Amino acid sequence: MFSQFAEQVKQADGQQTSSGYYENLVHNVLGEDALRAIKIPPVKKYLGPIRERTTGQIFGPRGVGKTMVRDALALSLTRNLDFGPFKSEKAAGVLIIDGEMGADQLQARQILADGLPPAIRPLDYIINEHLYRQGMPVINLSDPLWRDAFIQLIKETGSRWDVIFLDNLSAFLPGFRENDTEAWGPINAFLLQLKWLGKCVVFYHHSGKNGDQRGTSSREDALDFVLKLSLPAGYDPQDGCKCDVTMTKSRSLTGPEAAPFTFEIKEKPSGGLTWLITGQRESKKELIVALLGNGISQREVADMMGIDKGYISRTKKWGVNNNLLTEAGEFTASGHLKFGGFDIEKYTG
Amino acid sequence: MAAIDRYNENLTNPQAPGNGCHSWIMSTANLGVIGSVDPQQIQTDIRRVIPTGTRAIRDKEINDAINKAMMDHSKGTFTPRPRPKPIINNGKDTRQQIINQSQTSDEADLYELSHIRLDYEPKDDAIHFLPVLFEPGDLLFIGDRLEAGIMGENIRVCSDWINFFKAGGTAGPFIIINSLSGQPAQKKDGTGDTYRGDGNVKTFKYCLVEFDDLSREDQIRFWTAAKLPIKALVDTGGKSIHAWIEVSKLAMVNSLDDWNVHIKRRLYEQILRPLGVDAACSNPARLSRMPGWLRDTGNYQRILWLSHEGESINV
Repeated sequence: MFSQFAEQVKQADGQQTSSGYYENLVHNVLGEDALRAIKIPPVKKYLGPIRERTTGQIFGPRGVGKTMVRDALALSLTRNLDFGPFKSEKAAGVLIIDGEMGADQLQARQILADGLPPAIRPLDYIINEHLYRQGMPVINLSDPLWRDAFIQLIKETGSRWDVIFLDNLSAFLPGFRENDTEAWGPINAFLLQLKWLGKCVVFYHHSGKNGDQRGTSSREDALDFVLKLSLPAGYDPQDGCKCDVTMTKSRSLTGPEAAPFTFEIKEKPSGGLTWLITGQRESKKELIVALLGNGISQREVADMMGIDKGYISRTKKWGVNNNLLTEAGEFTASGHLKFGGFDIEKYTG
Repeated sequence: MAAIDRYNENLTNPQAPGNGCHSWIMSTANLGVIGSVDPQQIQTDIRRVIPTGTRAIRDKEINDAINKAMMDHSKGTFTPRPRPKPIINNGKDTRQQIINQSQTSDEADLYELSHIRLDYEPKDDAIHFLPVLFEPGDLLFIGDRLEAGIMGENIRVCSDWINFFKAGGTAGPFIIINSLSGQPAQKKDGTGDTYRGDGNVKTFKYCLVEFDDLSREDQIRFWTAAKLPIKALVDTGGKSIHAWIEVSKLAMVNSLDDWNVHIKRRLYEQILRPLGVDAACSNPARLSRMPGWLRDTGNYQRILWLSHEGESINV
């Protein structure tokens, strides 16, 4: 009877109790008609797969340019700009929660915003390093108190942020057993809560040695989209920040919007930095033509680029039809003009 | 006069905050320390008797006074026992929510709801009350607040008391809520033995719950809504209602240590105290008003509701 009384006072105090859960269940069984009658506002689409009430992951190896992609995405979201194949439908407020970078580095990255249209929605940051420098504890999402604090913050700030970037998982879950499905449970529940609050949550993670995401694959189960970042074939560190972006999971995008693309950071002629996005299919075709015209065999090109030989053969045909290659696979005059100076050392060396 | 006697005298004469309370706390703490009273007990005693005044007295003020007294008399320092955290956040609102769950505020309705019919005169309450609450062989104290417990006089077995009352005897106005061992035990202040303290309790059957600051109607509403194992509700003949709660339906309590864990801390400090219950009632040898006693005001102390089993009235 002690527990009955304790439950009574907790309920009277507005706390949730097991009998409260029962009441919730009893009153929330939905019949077909009731389900149909619920008024659910349409999902707000922001940028490509980044939509209201979704969760996504962006992963890639160290140094591939994950944070550059993040910053470019955030700037596109807050300014209603397309991002390569991702079409922008509505500007979104963004909160970036950064676990590793210093405030000085993030400040330097703001150069990417120079020359862009002004922000329509807010772009805010919570930076672990900044918290630490002020003598505060740093974010640890393994701790339920931190998770509760975030939920409270998101509830209190209402519609200020539509998209939350959590960069990155390792920084916010120190000592976390990445292969442990059970340990992921509370974090998954936290991400779901944010999603149910109407937010799109995108978290960043490192890839493993095989290039896939590190840790339990169950993490991907609940996600709406996953973007994989990888270094392009023949990547030269002198190229700076450049990576291939491939959508390995998408519940909402198909067709051209889901096509892989290459992201790179370029210097602007007028000074400063900007990003450039090219469709991988086009650049891939051109690269194959350049390699073939320079005397690399079809088999070698296939091995070099990790593409099957059939695709190489079809691309050669495309090159012939477009008067870039001869039937023998050599450059035509226009092919030579276009690709003759191509630095094949980068790919063959 | 010994320091311990002066300490006890001080406790009967507290000064209200804003009217010399701080000096009174300092002197009481000093006397308690000199009289070798446990510092935790000094803190509890001071907190218990301080009346309402023009300012709130924080625990820190009392603790600082005890600490200073201990340092002045080279008795170390005082680290107060941490209070268990209440399981509720807003006691007053919670209590009101429970009160709102009841539809009974009337004594007549309560009379109708009593599991044992109370169709006799209030002066005969004792004869009907004791057999329901106690076993015939239970040793019970019935007497006045300041009376020492004397075996065979104010401490007798239940069946003797029933015969005494049946024969027209009067005793009161108080009864200790639990049966006693009949063996002497040391007083809390260490000044000799007693037969009617917490250390003399034999069976931990009941705890007493009383509100100081609720209207009579709201007390009835609370007790008819609370999911507690109530054995009896007793009208004190004043403003209060005393609820006798059956401890065995809440927890296994076989010793004073069990009592301190389950009743004092879990029930009183974590739930009842935040609800506004007088925390001073939380000891097992608590005095309650003996039903059937006629007070000087002309009002009877009487049973309002009675049951063979401790159960919630749950209207």
